Amino acid sequence: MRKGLVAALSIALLVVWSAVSFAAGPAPIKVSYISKPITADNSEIWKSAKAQPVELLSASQSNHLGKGAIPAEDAKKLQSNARYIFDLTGEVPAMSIKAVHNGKTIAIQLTWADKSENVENAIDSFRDSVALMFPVTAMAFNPSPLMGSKGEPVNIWQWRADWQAEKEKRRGLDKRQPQQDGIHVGMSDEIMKTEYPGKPSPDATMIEYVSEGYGTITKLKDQPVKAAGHYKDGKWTVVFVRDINRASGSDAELLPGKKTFVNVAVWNGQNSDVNGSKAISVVWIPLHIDAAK
Amino acid sequence: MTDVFNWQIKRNMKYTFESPKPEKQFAAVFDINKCIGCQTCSITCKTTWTTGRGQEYMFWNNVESKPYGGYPLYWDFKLLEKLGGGKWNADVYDGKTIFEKAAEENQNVEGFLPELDDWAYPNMGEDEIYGGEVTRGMHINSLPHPIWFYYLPRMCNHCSHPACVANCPRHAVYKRPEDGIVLVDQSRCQGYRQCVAGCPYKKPMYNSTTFRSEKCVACYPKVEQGHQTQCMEHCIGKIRMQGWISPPDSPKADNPIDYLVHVKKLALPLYPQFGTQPNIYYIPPIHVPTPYLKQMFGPGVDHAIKVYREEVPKDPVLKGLLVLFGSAPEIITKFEVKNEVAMGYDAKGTLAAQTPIKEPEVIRASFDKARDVYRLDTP
Repeated sequence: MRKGLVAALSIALLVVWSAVSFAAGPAPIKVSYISKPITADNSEIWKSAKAQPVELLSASQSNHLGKGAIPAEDAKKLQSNARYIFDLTGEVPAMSIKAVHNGKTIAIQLTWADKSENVENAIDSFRDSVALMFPVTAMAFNPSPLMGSKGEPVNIWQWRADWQAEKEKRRGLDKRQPQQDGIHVGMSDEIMKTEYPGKPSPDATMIEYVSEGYGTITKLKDQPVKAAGHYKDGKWTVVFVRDINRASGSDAELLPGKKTFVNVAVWNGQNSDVNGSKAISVVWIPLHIDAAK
Repeated sequence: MTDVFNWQIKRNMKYTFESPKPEKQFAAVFDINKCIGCQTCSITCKTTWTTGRGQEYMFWNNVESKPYGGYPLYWDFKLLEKLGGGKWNADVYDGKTIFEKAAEENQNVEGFLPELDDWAYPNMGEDEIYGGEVTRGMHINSLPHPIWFYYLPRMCNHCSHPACVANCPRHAVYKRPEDGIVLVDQSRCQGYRQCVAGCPYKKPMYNSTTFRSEKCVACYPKVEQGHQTQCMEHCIGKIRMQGWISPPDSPKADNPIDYLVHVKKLALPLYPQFGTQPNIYYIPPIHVPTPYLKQMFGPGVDHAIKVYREEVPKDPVLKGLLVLFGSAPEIITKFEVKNEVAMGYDAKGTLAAQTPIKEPEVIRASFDKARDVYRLDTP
């Protein structure tokens, strides 16, 4: 839990809201058309794409709306039941984004500075993570940029560093909890994991959600998006890849030649970031997708 | 935030939700004076519920030695320090609950997330005494004892104002309307660990293989059939009595829990000042000095100890109820004591347990003429 943010709360919200309402807003992100085959591990595709900066703001959670919390009218303006406190002085990573498509597949690459690689999400540790959020319906400016709104869903793609590490057979907790070896494993293990599998698939590195407001994120049955991340020289680079054609009505519309919006969130495991404690772009960033050639 | 009445601190307090009262409220009384720290409760729970991967460190039920032990380490002292003590004005709590303290910082619940190592030593401080050294030839012949420790068996308190429910941003933790049992919905849990941080008793625990938090489920499949939970049923020392607690203004004298908690005020909540209105009640250990006990069980300690020492030996009803502890696998919802025999009835009104307050006693002659042998009779 972060302290000392409360004072900044109302002011920060008003500043943010003013920025949304009256300023031009963030510069659009261009999704360039390329004619190369697109896969998550093909670095060739990024050579021609332009890196564009993403401005982030530090956020943490507040209590439920009420006395002393986010002023109700501000929350209403943001069309959200979210309970965030924004901290204008909070440290956020420098982030850049690149995006390409070839008419069939779209790829988005996020690069951000992070001094520590946090690949464990266990009892007292938190993972590094990054997420993209789109309105499900392209050009819909109505869903709240804070997790969507009722009847106006958003589609969220969240990559997780701990799942990436597990896929690469690096599970840090096993070293910290050596007494796991040789113990009896009972029936509850199989029951729990059959009923409630931890990941969408054993090799998953990301999870796809649909959300209609704070506290409503729901895992999608189909998980068509793939992601891969790697950490090098104090930087995370994560690539998301999806077919242009969406798998279901809960996946975001990403249409060549059309515009939509995107929002970015980053969690720093070193700061125990989880849930609403994260760095977010707050307002919708226009996403301009080149026409296919 | 809404105003709720918390009878354990005798005042209104702020709570996150205006949740309706459950039809029934799961509750139990533990007589600490009888706990021998055998850990049978911990093991019966462990083998029933937490033998999976990711659950290695979990003890939904544990027994720790007080004052030094704790699972996780110092779970209670850390929170007491955060709350900054907290005074009682007679039986009204004047300090801040975990909800009131958190509200100062626009948070739901004051709490903390224990570290991995804090969970790793569930028997740390076991049997460690407070009050100095035991010297050769020493006798302790007064109450309370100058040198002491005691066992504190703990499980989820299935609180009336649960902090885990209040702190979950997804409403994944909920209190069942039919019996007040608090559960984590595994299909909604996102593993944020807000319930772990929020619960003052540290009973929700995070599973790092399912990426979700879990907690004591009060053996609800058994409770639904009218049976006591595993930890209650298998208690060797027969220190536990499970049942349903009524609101303090409408206690039923033939309900074992009501009688012990509301009528006789012999059993007390664990850290009532936290404000969650916990539903596991403890008969405080009579050999322990009261300042420490008051910090743990609130201002009712003096009265409870007086009742245990002075009233119980004279009161056949109370004495009878105490011998009913651990006498049946069923949940005893009603009891009566007639002619020095205590009887417990299940929810259908069927006799589930019948126990004499004093076991029949036969004294045999030390010489058995028929077999021409002497016997050493032991009582």
